[in-house]
Amino acid sequence: MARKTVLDAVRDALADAVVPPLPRLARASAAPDRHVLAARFAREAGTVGTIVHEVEGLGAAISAVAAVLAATATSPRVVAWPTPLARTVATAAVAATPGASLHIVDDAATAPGRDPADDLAAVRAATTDVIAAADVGITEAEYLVADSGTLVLRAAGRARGVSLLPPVHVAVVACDRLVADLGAALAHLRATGARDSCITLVTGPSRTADIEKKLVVGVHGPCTLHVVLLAPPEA
Amino acid sequence: MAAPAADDFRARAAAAAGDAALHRKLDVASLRFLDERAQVFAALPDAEARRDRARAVKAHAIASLATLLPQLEQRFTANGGVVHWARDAAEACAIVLDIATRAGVRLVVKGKSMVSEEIALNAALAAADIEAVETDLGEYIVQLAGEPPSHIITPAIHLSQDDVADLFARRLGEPRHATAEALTAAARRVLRTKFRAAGMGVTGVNFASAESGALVVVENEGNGRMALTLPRIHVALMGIEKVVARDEDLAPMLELLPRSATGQSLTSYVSLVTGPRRPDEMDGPDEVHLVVLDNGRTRLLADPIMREALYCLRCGACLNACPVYRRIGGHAYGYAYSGPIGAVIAPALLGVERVADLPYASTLCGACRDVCPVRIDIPHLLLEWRARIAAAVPRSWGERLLVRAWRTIAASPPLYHVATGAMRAAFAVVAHVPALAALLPPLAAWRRGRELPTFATRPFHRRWRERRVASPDGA
Repeated sequence: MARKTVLDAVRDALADAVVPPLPRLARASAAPDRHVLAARFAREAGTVGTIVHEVEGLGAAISAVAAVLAATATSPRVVAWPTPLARTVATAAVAATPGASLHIVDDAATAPGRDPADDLAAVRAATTDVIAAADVGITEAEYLVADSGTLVLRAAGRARGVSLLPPVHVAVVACDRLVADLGAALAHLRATGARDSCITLVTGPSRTADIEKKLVVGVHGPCTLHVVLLAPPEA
Repeated sequence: MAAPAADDFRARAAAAAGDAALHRKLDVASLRFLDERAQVFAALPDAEARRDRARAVKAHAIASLATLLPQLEQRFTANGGVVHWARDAAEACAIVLDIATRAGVRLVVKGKSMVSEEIALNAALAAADIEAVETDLGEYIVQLAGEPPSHIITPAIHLSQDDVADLFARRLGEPRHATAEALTAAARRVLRTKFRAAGMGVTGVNFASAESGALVVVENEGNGRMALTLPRIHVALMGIEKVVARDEDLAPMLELLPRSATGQSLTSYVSLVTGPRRPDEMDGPDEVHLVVLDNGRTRLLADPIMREALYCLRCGACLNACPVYRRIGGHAYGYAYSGPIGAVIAPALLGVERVADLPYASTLCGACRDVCPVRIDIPHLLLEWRARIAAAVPRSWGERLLVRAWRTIAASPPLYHVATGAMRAAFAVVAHVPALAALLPPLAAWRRGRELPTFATRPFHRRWRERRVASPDGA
């Protein structure tokens, strides 16, 4: 009944309204080459406090992540997405870091201490417990938006909490995922027919300026955000 | 705030106008907001064209609501979400309460939502013995202080760091004189446990796409992401005006909202929610509900002049820019939406007779229109409200005579010159003998809080004429 009342009121209110045309939206002309995009991304991400590591080759990516792990805690607890690049880099970086432990959040069934009799909610709560207790979360961005220094994160087959709950978030991404602007990223996502429950745009660490407009990072989400931008080794 | 009490505006505004400490706090934040906004707009290529485009997106969407809302409902439902419709605040609260009660929810974590303030959801939940915790730092602060927010973007803008430190010392046992970092860390610690324990997360909605059914939640702290990720149920509260036609319309809006609100290119987090957790996802809510609220918005929609107030993105830039807001603060307005845009929409949402003073809380300087990302002509709308309020009140014969005389004088240059000459003489006398002003009641009332203007010794029209004579080309 409320539905009908509201929609009828909307229709009546607009009975004489003329619908103006939809604006033509600006399209990025030809995409600049990836060196230009990478430089722009690094600059924009840097201004919001994201630490960008531009590396060549998988080995360099692993070293960069291992260095972050070693600098974060003495025996860092690491959680990672099961996507191929995140899994590979996380596994090797943890192996190279003394005392580090890794939990790849790839299925509720792998949650520690699971009893088959547990209900799904309990399993998921246990998974979230592991993520919340971790020092570092390693993810993989679907796209990088150069204009705003933004990561585009998907949810399909992943746990959103990995990029949210640990105090340090490391996103690994191949540089062919760079796009010029947000419109391009959204258009690419649509083209893939993504059915994720949530797409998350991340631009810098969690921040606030609610007290006297003073900038404080690390409110509820990560205090530190690293992006490891992976270029193929130059031939 | 159980019920908006906007009717005592004059008393509250007068008290706030004399509160120098409040002015300092408002200036610290709002002037910096304005400065950062100006910088980020100066650095944005084609900023003016982008504002035109954003306005065109909203103009199209608002004029198409009759088709976009059912389309959004259909897509959102197909994505696995549930859509609820609420005609007013009471219905919206009842819907949220019903969802919570059915699921046995005892604790609700809330992301920032102005609609939730508008409908006074926290009070409704508290009445049903359900704890609602604000998790945006500023909202958390004002909730601990037992106050409503006083700014759309910075809810605790009226409190200094020392005020917050005292509050946290009293309520959370934090050390006094804590820094902003320490206070933020304390809130993080307390609220982490709430996020994990809550059965329901409530958020607002900044934009929704009718094309895909996606709800867009814009924030900086990560509390919105927590609220729409960790609890088993996510309830999103949305006014009917938030829907746009296409996914691609979201980009130009996201470009302008953070720039206008906080001077950021983009906020730290933007979530595009398209429904509950899919089977292959390891977290996210099992249920996602969208509450679509009218609560007086269709009255604005039915009003061809006021309709453009629905283009508002709730960026808060007009509050920061407003010299009146910066002297009286948000609480004086007595409503969730304060500042210039609040003064425009409150009369429609609450009834103009309840808040007839608000459209007068403006100098009509136009600063609000200049900073509005979608170019809402707020001064024009305030004048329109004033005209309507004035037209509804029968005028005394004296006032009507005065206006008629003014019209005659202003339309005739010779009469106008004679009249201003007489005024100049009269004001010169009154300036020397202020007691004379008390003899004329309208002048006495006008002089409360105002200085008598000083007339130029030679009027403008004379100087202009002399200037023209001196340089005939008018340069």
